[in-house]
Amino acid sequence: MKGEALRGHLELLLLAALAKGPAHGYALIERLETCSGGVLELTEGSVYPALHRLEQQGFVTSSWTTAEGRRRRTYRVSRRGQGELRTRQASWRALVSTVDLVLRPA
Amino acid sequence: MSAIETYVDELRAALPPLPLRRRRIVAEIRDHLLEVAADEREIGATPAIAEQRAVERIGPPRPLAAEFAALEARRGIRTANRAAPATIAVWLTVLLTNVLSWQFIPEWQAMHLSRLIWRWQGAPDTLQKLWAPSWGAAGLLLACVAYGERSRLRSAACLLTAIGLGGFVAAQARWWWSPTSFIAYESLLAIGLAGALILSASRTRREPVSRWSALVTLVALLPLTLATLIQLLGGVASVPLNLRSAPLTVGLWLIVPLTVTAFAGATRAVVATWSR
Repeated sequence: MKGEALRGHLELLLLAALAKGPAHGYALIERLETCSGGVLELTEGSVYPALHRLEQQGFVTSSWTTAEGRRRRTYRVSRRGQGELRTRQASWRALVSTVDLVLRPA
Repeated sequence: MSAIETYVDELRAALPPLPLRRRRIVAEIRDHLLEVAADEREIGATPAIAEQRAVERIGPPRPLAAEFAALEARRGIRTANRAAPATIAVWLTVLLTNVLSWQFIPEWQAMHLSRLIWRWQGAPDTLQKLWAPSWGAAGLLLACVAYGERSRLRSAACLLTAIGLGGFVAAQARWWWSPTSFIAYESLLAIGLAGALILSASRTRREPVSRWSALVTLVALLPLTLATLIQLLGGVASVPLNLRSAPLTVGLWLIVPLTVTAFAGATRAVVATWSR
Protein backbone atom coordinates (compact mmCIF):
# COMPACT_ATOMS: atom_id res chain seq x y z
CA MET A 1 0.00 0.00 0.00
CA LYS A 2 1.63 3.25 -1.15
CA GLY A 3 1.72 6.63 0.56
CA GLU A 4 -1.11 8.10 -1.52
CA ALA A 5 -3.62 5.54 -0.16
CA LEU A 6 -2.63 6.51 3.37
CA ARG A 7 -3.39 10.19 2.93
CA GLY A 8 -5.44 11.35 5.91
CA HIS A 9 -4.55 8.30 7.99
CA LEU A 10 -0.84 8.87 8.43
CA GLU A 11 -1.24 10.73 11.72
CA LEU A 12 -3.42 7.96 13.15
CA LEU A 13 -0.86 5.36 12.09
CA LEU A 14 2.00 7.34 13.60
CA LEU A 15 0.14 7.85 16.87
CA ALA A 16 -0.66 4.14 17.03
CA ALA A 17 2.95 3.21 16.30
CA LEU A 18 4.22 5.66 18.91
CA ALA A 19 1.79 4.27 21.47
CA LYS A 20 3.91 1.11 21.41
CA GLY A 21 6.86 3.12 22.72
CA PRO A 22 9.03 6.19 22.06
CA ALA A 23 10.90 6.14 18.76
CA HIS A 24 12.69 8.36 16.27
CA GLY A 25 11.38 8.92 12.74
CA TYR A 26 13.17 6.11 10.95
CA ALA A 27 12.40 3.59 13.70
CA LEU A 28 8.74 4.58 13.41
CA ILE A 29 8.74 3.95 9.67
CA GLU A 30 10.29 0.53 10.24
CA ARG A 31 7.82 -0.19 13.04
CA LEU A 32 4.87 0.62 10.77
CA GLU A 33 6.24 -1.56 7.98
CA THR A 34 6.86 -4.44 10.39
CA CYS A 35 3.42 -4.13 12.03
CA SER A 36 1.73 -4.15 8.63
CA GLY A 37 3.70 -7.21 7.51
CA GLY A 38 5.48 -5.09 4.89
CA VAL A 39 2.21 -3.95 3.28
CA LEU A 40 2.61 -0.26 4.20
CA GLU A 41 5.21 1.58 2.13
CA LEU A 42 5.42 5.07 3.50
CA THR A 43 6.90 7.99 1.63
CA GLU A 44 9.63 8.64 4.13
CA GLY A 45 9.62 12.40 3.59
CA SER A 46 5.95 12.65 4.60
CA VAL A 47 6.57 11.20 8.04
CA TYR A 48 8.57 14.11 9.48
CA PRO A 49 6.11 16.93 8.69
CA ALA A 50 3.35 14.69 10.08
CA LEU A 51 5.33 14.17 13.29
CA HIS A 52 5.95 17.91 13.60
CA ARG A 53 2.25 18.53 13.04
CA LEU A 54 1.34 16.08 15.79
CA GLU A 55 3.83 17.80 18.05
CA GLN A 56 2.37 21.20 17.22
CA GLN A 57 -1.06 19.88 18.15
CA GLY A 58 0.30 18.63 21.47
CA PHE A 59 -0.32 14.96 20.67
CA VAL A 60 3.34 13.98 20.79
CA THR A 61 6.41 15.39 22.50
CA SER A 62 9.98 15.09 21.35
CA SER A 63 13.50 15.47 22.68
CA TRP A 64 17.05 14.87 21.54
CA THR A 65 18.52 11.57 22.66
CA THR A 66 21.92 10.08 21.93
CA ALA A 67 22.21 6.50 20.68
CA GLU A 68 25.30 4.87 19.19
CA GLY A 69 27.06 8.23 19.29
CA ARG A 70 24.39 9.92 17.18
CA ARG A 71 21.86 12.55 18.28
CA ARG A 72 18.29 11.65 17.41
CA ARG A 73 14.96 13.33 17.84
CA THR A 74 12.86 10.85 19.79
CA TYR A 75 9.08 11.15 19.85
CA ARG A 76 6.62 9.94 22.46
CA VAL A 77 2.84 10.15 22.77
CA SER A 78 1.60 12.77 25.23
CA ARG A 79 -1.39 12.19 27.50
CA ARG A 80 -3.42 14.33 25.15
CA GLY A 81 -2.19 12.22 22.26
CA GLN A 82 -3.35 9.04 23.97
CA GLY A 83 -6.85 10.49 24.21
CA GLU A 84 -6.69 11.60 20.59
CA LEU A 85 -5.56 8.13 19.54
CA ARG A 86 -8.54 6.52 21.29
CA THR A 87 -10.91 8.99 19.59
CA ARG A 88 -9.39 8.44 16.15
CA GLN A 89 -9.37 4.66 16.61
CA ALA A 90 -13.05 4.73 17.50
CA SER A 91 -13.97 6.85 14.48
CA TRP A 92 -11.83 4.69 12.20
CA ARG A 93 -13.59 1.53 13.42
CA ALA A 94 -16.97 3.20 13.00
CA LEU A 95 -16.04 4.20 9.43
CA VAL A 96 -14.77 0.72 8.55
CA SER A 97 -17.89 -1.00 9.89
CA THR A 98 -20.15 1.47 8.07
CA VAL A 99 -18.32 1.01 4.78
CA ASP A 100 -18.42 -2.77 5.36
CA LEU A 101 -22.19 -2.62 5.70
CA VAL A 102 -22.47 -0.82 2.38
CA LEU A 103 -20.04 -3.10 0.59
CA ARG A 104 -21.62 -6.32 1.89
CA PRO A 105 -23.06 -8.38 -1.01
CA ALA A 106 -26.84 -8.28 -1.20
CA MET B 1 30.23 16.31 -1.85
CA SER B 2 28.20 13.23 -0.88
CA ALA B 3 24.60 12.76 -1.99
CA ILE B 4 23.38 13.18 1.58
CA GLU B 5 25.26 16.43 2.16
CA THR B 6 24.04 17.79 -1.19
CA TYR B 7 20.47 16.88 -0.23
CA VAL B 8 20.83 18.44 3.21
CA ASP B 9 22.25 21.66 1.72
CA GLU B 10 19.33 21.90 -0.72
CA LEU B 11 16.86 21.29 2.08
CA ARG B 12 18.49 23.93 4.29
CA ALA B 13 18.34 26.46 1.48
CA ALA B 14 14.66 25.72 0.81
CA LEU B 15 13.51 25.91 4.45
CA PRO B 16 12.19 29.22 5.90
CA PRO B 17 14.98 31.31 7.48
CA LEU B 18 14.01 30.49 11.06
CA PRO B 19 17.43 29.42 12.38
CA LEU B 20 16.51 27.24 15.38
CA ARG B 21 13.74 25.45 13.58
CA ARG B 22 15.83 24.96 10.47
CA ARG B 23 18.69 23.52 12.50
CA ARG B 24 16.38 20.99 14.12
CA ILE B 25 14.77 19.88 10.85
CA VAL B 26 18.09 19.58 9.03
CA ALA B 27 19.64 17.58 11.90
CA GLU B 28 16.64 15.25 12.00
CA ILE B 29 16.58 14.64 8.26
CA ARG B 30 20.35 14.16 8.08
CA ASP B 31 20.15 11.57 10.87
CA HIS B 32 17.39 9.79 8.96
CA LEU B 33 19.39 9.72 5.73
CA LEU B 34 22.53 8.46 7.47
CA GLU B 35 20.56 5.68 9.10
CA VAL B 36 18.90 4.61 5.86
CA ALA B 37 22.29 4.66 4.11
CA ALA B 38 23.77 2.50 6.88
CA ASP B 39 20.94 -0.01 6.43
CA GLU B 40 21.51 -0.02 2.66
CA ARG B 41 25.22 -0.68 3.18
CA GLU B 42 24.36 -3.60 5.46
CA ILE B 43 22.49 -5.28 2.65
CA GLY B 44 25.42 -4.88 0.28
CA ALA B 45 25.18 -1.47 -1.38
CA THR B 46 28.34 0.56 -1.91
CA PRO B 47 28.56 3.78 0.16
CA ALA B 48 27.73 5.98 -2.84
CA ILE B 49 24.75 3.86 -3.90
CA ALA B 50 23.56 3.58 -0.29
CA GLU B 51 23.49 7.38 0.02
CA GLN B 52 21.76 7.73 -3.33
CA ARG B 53 19.04 5.27 -2.28
CA ALA B 54 18.55 7.07 1.03
CA VAL B 55 18.01 10.34 -0.80
CA GLU B 56 15.59 8.74 -3.28
CA ARG B 57 13.56 7.15 -0.49
CA ILE B 58 12.91 10.40 1.34
CA GLY B 59 11.83 12.32 -1.77
CA PRO B 60 12.90 15.71 -3.23
CA PRO B 61 13.92 18.43 -0.74
CA ARG B 62 11.74 21.28 -1.99
CA PRO B 63 8.29 19.71 -1.39
CA LEU B 64 9.53 18.54 2.00
CA ALA B 65 10.69 22.07 2.86
CA ALA B 66 7.34 23.45 1.64
CA GLU B 67 5.48 21.16 4.05
CA PHE B 68 7.60 22.36 6.94
CA ALA B 69 7.13 26.00 5.87
CA ALA B 70 3.34 25.52 5.88
CA LEU B 71 3.55 24.13 9.40
CA GLU B 72 5.60 27.10 10.59
CA ALA B 73 3.16 29.54 9.02
CA ARG B 74 0.25 27.84 10.74
CA ARG B 75 2.05 27.92 14.05
CA GLY B 76 2.90 31.61 13.72
CA ILE B 77 -0.53 32.77 12.62
CA ARG B 78 -2.19 30.77 15.37
CA THR B 79 -0.01 32.45 17.98
CA ALA B 80 -0.81 35.87 16.56
CA ASN B 81 -4.52 35.11 16.30
CA ARG B 82 -4.66 34.23 19.95
CA ALA B 83 -2.42 36.89 21.40
CA ALA B 84 -3.78 39.84 19.41
CA PRO B 85 -7.42 39.74 20.63
CA ALA B 86 -6.16 39.26 24.18
CA THR B 87 -3.92 42.32 23.76
CA ILE B 88 -6.79 44.41 22.50
CA ALA B 89 -9.03 43.21 25.32
CA VAL B 90 -6.43 44.20 27.91
CA TRP B 91 -5.96 47.59 26.26
CA LEU B 92 -9.69 48.25 26.42
CA THR B 93 -9.84 47.09 30.03
CA VAL B 94 -6.93 49.37 30.90
CA LEU B 95 -8.57 52.35 29.28
CA LEU B 96 -11.84 51.70 31.08
CA THR B 97 -10.33 51.00 34.49
CA ASN B 98 -7.95 53.93 34.16
CA VAL B 99 -10.90 56.24 33.82
CA LEU B 100 -12.75 54.53 36.67
CA SER B 101 -9.72 54.58 38.97
CA TRP B 102 -9.33 58.34 38.60
CA GLN B 103 -13.02 58.62 39.31
CA PHE B 104 -13.25 56.43 42.42
CA ILE B 105 -9.81 55.65 43.87
CA PRO B 106 -8.25 58.15 46.25
CA GLU B 107 -4.65 59.19 45.65
CA TRP B 108 -2.30 56.74 47.37
CA GLN B 109 1.36 56.02 47.01
CA ALA B 110 2.10 52.81 45.15
CA MET B 111 4.97 51.20 43.38
CA HIS B 112 5.89 52.32 39.91
CA LEU B 113 6.80 50.01 37.05
CA SER B 114 10.39 51.21 36.89
CA ARG B 115 10.80 50.75 40.65
CA LEU B 116 9.44 47.22 40.39
CA ILE B 117 11.98 46.37 37.73
CA TRP B 118 14.80 47.56 40.01
CA ARG B 119 13.35 45.84 43.04
CA TRP B 120 16.35 43.52 43.05
CA GLN B 121 18.53 46.29 44.44
CA GLY B 122 16.32 47.30 47.29
CA ALA B 123 14.50 44.06 48.07
CA PRO B 124 14.34 43.46 51.81
CA ASP B 125 14.41 39.65 51.71
CA THR B 126 15.28 36.67 49.53
CA LEU B 127 11.72 35.96 48.47
CA GLN B 128 11.38 39.46 47.11
CA LYS B 129 14.69 39.13 45.30
CA LEU B 130 13.01 36.42 43.20
CA TRP B 131 10.97 39.13 41.53
CA ALA B 132 13.66 40.39 39.15
CA PRO B 133 14.89 37.00 37.83
CA SER B 134 11.30 35.85 37.58
CA TRP B 135 10.74 38.42 34.86
CA GLY B 136 13.79 37.13 33.06
CA ALA B 137 12.32 33.65 33.26
CA ALA B 138 8.95 34.97 32.12
CA GLY B 139 10.70 36.52 29.12
CA LEU B 140 12.32 33.19 28.37
CA LEU B 141 8.94 31.51 28.64
CA LEU B 142 7.43 34.00 26.22
CA ALA B 143 10.28 33.43 23.79
CA CYS B 144 9.60 29.69 23.96
CA VAL B 145 5.88 30.23 23.41
CA ALA B 146 6.53 32.52 20.46
CA TYR B 147 9.03 30.08 19.07
CA GLY B 148 6.58 27.23 19.55
CA GLU B 149 9.14 24.72 20.70
CA ARG B 150 8.04 22.16 23.27
CA SER B 151 11.42 21.72 24.77
CA ARG B 152 13.08 21.27 28.10
CA LEU B 153 13.97 24.95 27.91
CA ARG B 154 10.29 25.76 27.97
CA SER B 155 9.65 23.48 30.95
CA ALA B 156 12.58 25.13 32.73
CA ALA B 157 11.20 28.58 31.91
CA CYS B 158 7.75 27.60 33.24
CA LEU B 159 9.33 26.30 36.43
CA LEU B 160 11.51 29.39 36.92
CA THR B 161 8.58 31.69 36.29
CA ALA B 162 6.43 29.80 38.76
CA ILE B 163 9.19 29.82 41.40
CA GLY B 164 9.99 33.48 40.85
CA LEU B 165 6.46 34.78 40.78
CA GLY B 166 5.36 32.37 43.51
CA GLY B 167 8.19 33.60 45.73
CA PHE B 168 7.30 37.19 45.09
CA VAL B 169 3.64 36.58 45.83
CA ALA B 170 4.60 34.84 49.06
CA ALA B 171 6.76 37.83 49.98
CA GLN B 172 3.97 40.23 49.14
CA ALA B 173 1.51 38.21 51.13
CA ARG B 174 3.78 38.54 54.14
CA TRP B 175 4.84 42.15 53.80
CA TRP B 176 2.39 43.95 51.68
CA TRP B 177 -0.86 42.06 51.46
CA SER B 178 -4.02 44.05 51.83
CA PRO B 179 -7.12 44.25 49.66
CA THR B 180 -5.80 47.47 48.12
CA SER B 181 -2.24 46.28 47.48
CA PHE B 182 -2.04 46.36 43.76
CA ILE B 183 1.44 44.79 43.73
CA ALA B 184 0.05 41.49 44.98
CA TYR B 185 -2.80 41.88 42.54
CA GLU B 186 -0.28 42.48 39.78
CA SER B 187 1.68 39.36 40.73
CA LEU B 188 -1.43 37.23 40.52
CA LEU B 189 -2.22 38.75 37.15
CA ALA B 190 1.30 37.97 35.94
CA ILE B 191 0.92 34.33 37.00
CA GLY B 192 -2.44 34.25 35.27
CA LEU B 193 -0.82 35.63 32.14
CA ALA B 194 1.90 32.98 32.15
CA GLY B 195 -0.75 30.27 32.64
CA ALA B 196 -2.92 31.67 29.88
CA LEU B 197 0.01 31.78 27.50
CA ILE B 198 0.94 28.18 28.23
CA LEU B 199 -2.66 27.07 27.77
CA SER B 200 -3.13 29.06 24.58
CA ALA B 201 0.11 27.70 23.15
CA SER B 202 -0.99 24.14 23.81
CA ARG B 203 -4.30 24.60 22.00
CA THR B 204 -4.23 24.04 18.28
CA ARG B 205 -6.46 24.41 15.28
CA ARG B 206 -5.83 23.78 11.63
CA GLU B 207 -6.01 26.66 9.20
CA PRO B 208 -4.56 27.05 5.74
CA VAL B 209 -2.28 30.09 5.86
CA SER B 210 -1.64 32.09 2.71
CA ARG B 211 1.24 34.54 2.37
CA TRP B 212 -1.21 37.43 2.06
CA SER B 213 -3.18 36.53 5.18
CA ALA B 214 0.11 36.34 7.09
CA LEU B 215 1.17 39.74 5.78
CA VAL B 216 -2.21 41.31 6.55
CA THR B 217 -2.01 39.98 10.11
CA LEU B 218 1.44 41.50 10.56
CA VAL B 219 0.39 44.86 9.11
CA ALA B 220 -2.74 44.87 11.28
CA LEU B 221 -0.57 44.36 14.32
CA LEU B 222 1.73 47.29 13.55
CA PRO B 223 -0.45 50.06 15.09
CA LEU B 224 -1.01 47.95 18.18
CA THR B 225 2.71 47.28 18.51
CA LEU B 226 3.53 50.93 17.95
CA ALA B 227 0.96 52.03 20.53
CA THR B 228 2.42 49.63 23.06
CA LEU B 229 5.97 50.80 22.38
CA ILE B 230 5.02 54.45 22.72
CA GLN B 231 3.16 53.76 25.94
CA LEU B 232 6.04 51.71 27.31
CA LEU B 233 8.83 54.12 26.40
CA GLY B 234 7.15 57.45 26.83
CA GLY B 235 3.90 57.02 28.69
CA VAL B 236 5.07 55.30 31.84
CA ALA B 237 7.60 57.99 32.67
CA SER B 238 4.85 60.57 32.86
CA VAL B 239 2.46 58.45 34.93
CA PRO B 240 2.20 59.71 38.53
CA LEU B 241 3.24 57.29 41.27
CA ASN B 242 -0.07 56.46 42.88
CA LEU B 243 -2.73 53.81 42.90
CA ARG B 244 -4.67 55.64 40.23
CA SER B 245 -2.01 54.65 37.72
CA ALA B 246 -2.33 51.00 38.71
CA PRO B 247 -4.58 49.96 35.78
CA LEU B 248 -2.11 51.40 33.31
CA THR B 249 0.90 49.86 35.03
CA VAL B 250 -0.74 46.47 35.47
CA GLY B 251 -2.10 46.62 31.95
CA LEU B 252 1.31 47.30 30.48
CA TRP B 253 2.78 44.28 32.19
CA LEU B 254 0.18 42.24 30.34
CA ILE B 255 0.11 44.19 27.12
CA VAL B 256 3.84 44.20 26.39
CA PRO B 257 4.38 40.41 26.41
CA LEU B 258 1.09 39.83 24.62
CA THR B 259 2.04 42.30 21.91
CA VAL B 260 5.50 40.78 21.54
CA THR B 261 3.96 37.30 21.28
CA ALA B 262 1.42 38.38 18.68
CA PHE B 263 3.99 40.27 16.64
CA ALA B 264 6.52 37.43 16.82
CA GLY B 265 3.86 34.95 15.68
CA ALA B 266 2.82 37.10 12.73
CA THR B 267 6.45 37.70 11.75
CA ARG B 268 7.08 33.99 11.87
CA ALA B 269 4.10 33.35 9.59
CA VAL B 270 5.27 35.99 7.12
CA VAL B 271 8.80 34.60 7.05
CA ALA B 272 7.51 31.05 6.56
CA THR B 273 5.03 31.90 3.79
CA TRP B 274 7.11 34.42 1.84
CA SER B 275 10.20 32.21 1.78
CA ARG B 276 8.35 29.35 0.06
